Amino acid sequence: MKAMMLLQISNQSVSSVLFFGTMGMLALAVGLVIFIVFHQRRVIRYQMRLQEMEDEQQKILLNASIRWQEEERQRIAADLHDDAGPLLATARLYLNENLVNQDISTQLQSIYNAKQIIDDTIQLIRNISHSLMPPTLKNFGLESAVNDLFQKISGSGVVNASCRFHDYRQRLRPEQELLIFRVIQELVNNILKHSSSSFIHVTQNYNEDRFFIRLHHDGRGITQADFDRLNKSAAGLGLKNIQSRVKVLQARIEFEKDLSQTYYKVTMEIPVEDHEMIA
Amino acid sequence: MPIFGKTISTIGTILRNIAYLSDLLPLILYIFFCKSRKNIGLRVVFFLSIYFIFFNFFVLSNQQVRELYYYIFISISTFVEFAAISLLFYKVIGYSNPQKVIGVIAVLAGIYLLYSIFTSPRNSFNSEVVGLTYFLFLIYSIYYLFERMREPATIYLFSSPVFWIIVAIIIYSAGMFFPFLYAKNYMEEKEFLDLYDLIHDPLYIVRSVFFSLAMLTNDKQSQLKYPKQKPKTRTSFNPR
Repeated sequence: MKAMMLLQISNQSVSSVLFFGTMGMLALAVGLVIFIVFHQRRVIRYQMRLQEMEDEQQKILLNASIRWQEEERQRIAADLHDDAGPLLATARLYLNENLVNQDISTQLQSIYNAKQIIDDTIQLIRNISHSLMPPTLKNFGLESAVNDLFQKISGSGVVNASCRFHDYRQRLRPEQELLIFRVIQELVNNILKHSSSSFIHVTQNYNEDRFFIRLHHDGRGITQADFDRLNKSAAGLGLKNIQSRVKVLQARIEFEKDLSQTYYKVTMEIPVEDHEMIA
Repeated sequence: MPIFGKTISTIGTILRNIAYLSDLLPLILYIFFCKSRKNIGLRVVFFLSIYFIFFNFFVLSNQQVRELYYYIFISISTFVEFAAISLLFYKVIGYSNPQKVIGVIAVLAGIYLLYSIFTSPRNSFNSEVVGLTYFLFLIYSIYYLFERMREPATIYLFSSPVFWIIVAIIIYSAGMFFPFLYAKNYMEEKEFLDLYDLIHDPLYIVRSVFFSLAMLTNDKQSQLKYPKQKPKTRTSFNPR
């Protein structure tokens, strides 16, 4: 009788363990599945939002790039129309059909004047062409082009501009050099326009497949937060161009105030693979 | 009281029959909707459905076979299920190291299961074999779900048929884990058997329903517009 009772009690405890254990396990399993599904939904929504923001940013950059290209075209068109056009028209005037009816000394004077004007036009077109693609950059590389640019700036006597390339034995690919040069040019333009600094100094370094360009100046500068803010706003076309170029280079750019709080610093870090460099 | 007991027994019989028939649902759906789909999960479910239909309708319906070899057949079908579902996890786990671990565990556990099937007494439920199998299924399923959670998500989990198969496996394995462990010692007792059936049959139906949901779920390649990794080629940009 006692054994029967014990067996019954044991069976009851097994039943309750079975029931509650199963319910517990089921609750855990269902809870885990629900948690993972909801967590993943949240992650996907967050990624979608990020993607939308990135798309928006891309759109702003693309618009800025198009606008900038249009402005460049307008500038070139204006240079050609306002400078080259009148010069060539004047040269044509000197060489008009009446020239044959004039005396020899007037003819010679007219031809000389026309030659002078044509030379000026050639120089003008050369300048336009150089502004499109600096010959120093193409022929001698980034270091020479930056040196050249900084010499011209220093020559004005307003700002002391200097640069030092520490490790540039191997040139980067031409398109990379051009993009880096344009970024430096844009930064320097901004500094000259807005910062009222007395010096600009650029240094270059190369470290573990990374190419570094650092630019210091002592004027009014911007920090990374300002750069990000201006990039998202409608203003700051030049900064958007910098951002576009940095993106094409797959590089990183950082704007900061020096620890001494005296200088502003811009650091550009460009990933470089060995095969991207040319001897 | 006897009327109440009879009602419970009738409900139990209905549930058992529905559970047996529920294997037909994923099978039919596979034949009609998924025949051309090369999804390993769907194929494994299709194979298991055929196997369980054969097992339930042809092996267990034979009274003589049932009396003599019921437990050995349970162990063998558990081994078949283990092999099929291990293959499924081996294929759906994304990273190579865990995949290798699953392969090694599957081989070692498979050897142990076979050894246990042939050496254990044939007149009692083999809780070691079934318990180990469903414990491994739980581990595999939890790992799979965590792997999907960690992955950079490109599709919703529930838009993949494999997810529904894993849900079916995890719910059935979690629900049946304790009954399987206790079955060795208490299977002969009516009270336990009733409770066992009461837990098993609804869970078996739920599993078949989730398998059917998997058959009805279309594979979606990507919910988001962007690729998993950024393209390495650079965009053309005219600097000036």
